[in-house]
Amino acid sequence: MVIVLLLLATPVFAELSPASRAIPLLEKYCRACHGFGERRFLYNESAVENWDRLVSTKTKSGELWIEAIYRSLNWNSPIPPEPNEKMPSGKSWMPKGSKRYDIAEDEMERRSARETLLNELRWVVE
Amino acid sequence: MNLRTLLLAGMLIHLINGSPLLGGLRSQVKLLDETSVQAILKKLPRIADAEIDRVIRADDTLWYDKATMVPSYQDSIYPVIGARPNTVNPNLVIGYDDIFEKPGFFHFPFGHTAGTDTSINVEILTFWAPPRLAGKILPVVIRKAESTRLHWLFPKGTIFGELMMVKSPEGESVPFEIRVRKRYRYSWGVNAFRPFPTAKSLARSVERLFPHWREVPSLAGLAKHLDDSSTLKPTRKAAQHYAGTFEPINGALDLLPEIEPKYVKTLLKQTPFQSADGALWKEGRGLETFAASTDSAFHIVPRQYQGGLYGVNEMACMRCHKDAGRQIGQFYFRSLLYGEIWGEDQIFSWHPLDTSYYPNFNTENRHLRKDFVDAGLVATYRLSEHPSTLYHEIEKDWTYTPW
Repeated sequence: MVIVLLLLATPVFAELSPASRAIPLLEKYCRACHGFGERRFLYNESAVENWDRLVSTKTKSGELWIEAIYRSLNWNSPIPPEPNEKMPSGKSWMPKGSKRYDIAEDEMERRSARETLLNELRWVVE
Repeated sequence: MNLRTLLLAGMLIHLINGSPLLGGLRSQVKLLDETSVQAILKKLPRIADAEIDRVIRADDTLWYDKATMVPSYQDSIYPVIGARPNTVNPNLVIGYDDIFEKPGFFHFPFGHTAGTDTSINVEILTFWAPPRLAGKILPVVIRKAESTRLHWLFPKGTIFGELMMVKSPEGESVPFEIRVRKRYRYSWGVNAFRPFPTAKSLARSVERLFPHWREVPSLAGLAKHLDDSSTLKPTRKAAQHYAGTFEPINGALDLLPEIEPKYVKTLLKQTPFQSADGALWKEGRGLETFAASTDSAFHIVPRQYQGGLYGVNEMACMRCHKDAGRQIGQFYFRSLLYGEIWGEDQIFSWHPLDTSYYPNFNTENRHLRKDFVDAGLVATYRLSEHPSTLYHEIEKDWTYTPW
């Protein structure tokens, strides 16, 4: 796991990695709330640098951002959770509000945007 | 082409897209008239969002100002009930100073479009795009709710927007921002379109539009300011009224230095508006701001604009919009028997009421606008006709509790 993360953190590897596919999706569905402040995981830099941060920096609760994102997007159903529905841990599913329905309904290559994003993150996290 | 051919062509178009035979919805309601709307549309910049660019220019999109949709609130708890304009006579309201900043305006955070509380050179027009299903308009549904309150829900797909304009010294209103809310089943999706979502984007436009900018002191000063991350001023925004509903913001503003009005107009009129969803105008020294501000009399944003304190996201907008229709008595004990904050379903400015009945102050005066009813824009809520897939109450952190 550590080796994989270190590899992903190198710019050359990241160019060929999910960074180029995952980061634009995170920009579209997450930046409005995660592009500033304490819960920030997207910065005004390149996809490679943003990816580097995801796989190397941690949330306040101590998990890597990429793990937290994967977990909170992994609804276990293609249907978006109800607004007041929480994860077993009591935390909120992501994204919130209308973007939850957009990410579930927008299609990319015959998959929902959420499934596409999860697929890009899965091989790092699992 | 003779008249008969024209009519047949019109009918064919109607059959294809379901639009009214003669004119759009605008011809059926007494909101801003077609001449006024066309004058507005001439001012509109290109918007880099296909859906919003189409909707804002559509014949079915309705526009209103404070004259055609008088800002109003309801007073639903007995004994004195009815609807009132926000310009209600202060002598008729117990606890007026708690509720209103001045005639026509609730206190912050409910009085003004976010960020414009202290701006004087700003003009705002609202547009409303009712959705259609199989060519038929989906109405706003209305029901009698708690006490005597009229409660309404907008159908999924409804779009509201605000065209925000800054007034030049000569009195010309120039668009600087378009805010949009789109109704989803469980929430309102939001966005704001600006010519310059970031300081860098303004810097690029200055270079592109004014090739000799280095030789113009004001433009050179602006370019230097935009490139400087140390210009942000810490700014706190807190509510002095309606305690507990608005969590104070500790943000920052970026006050742009003055440039000549001719440059402002060129910048605003010759730059397509981009989505500012998630955009940071500038950051530096641990501070962040989401939009430009200025103390200048005329710039790319109104004087003392505070939009930089609010990110373009649902959470930021919900801070205030969640309380539309909430009982004022939940904030002020002496107003227990008084009315509600203006609006319903998280939209402040819209209501379906015929204001000609408002002078009947001491009796029930809430009657639906006939033009809205006749145009099919509003309807009485019936579960059998208005399924929850299209009409769904958004979850709130307060409940209406009449006495």
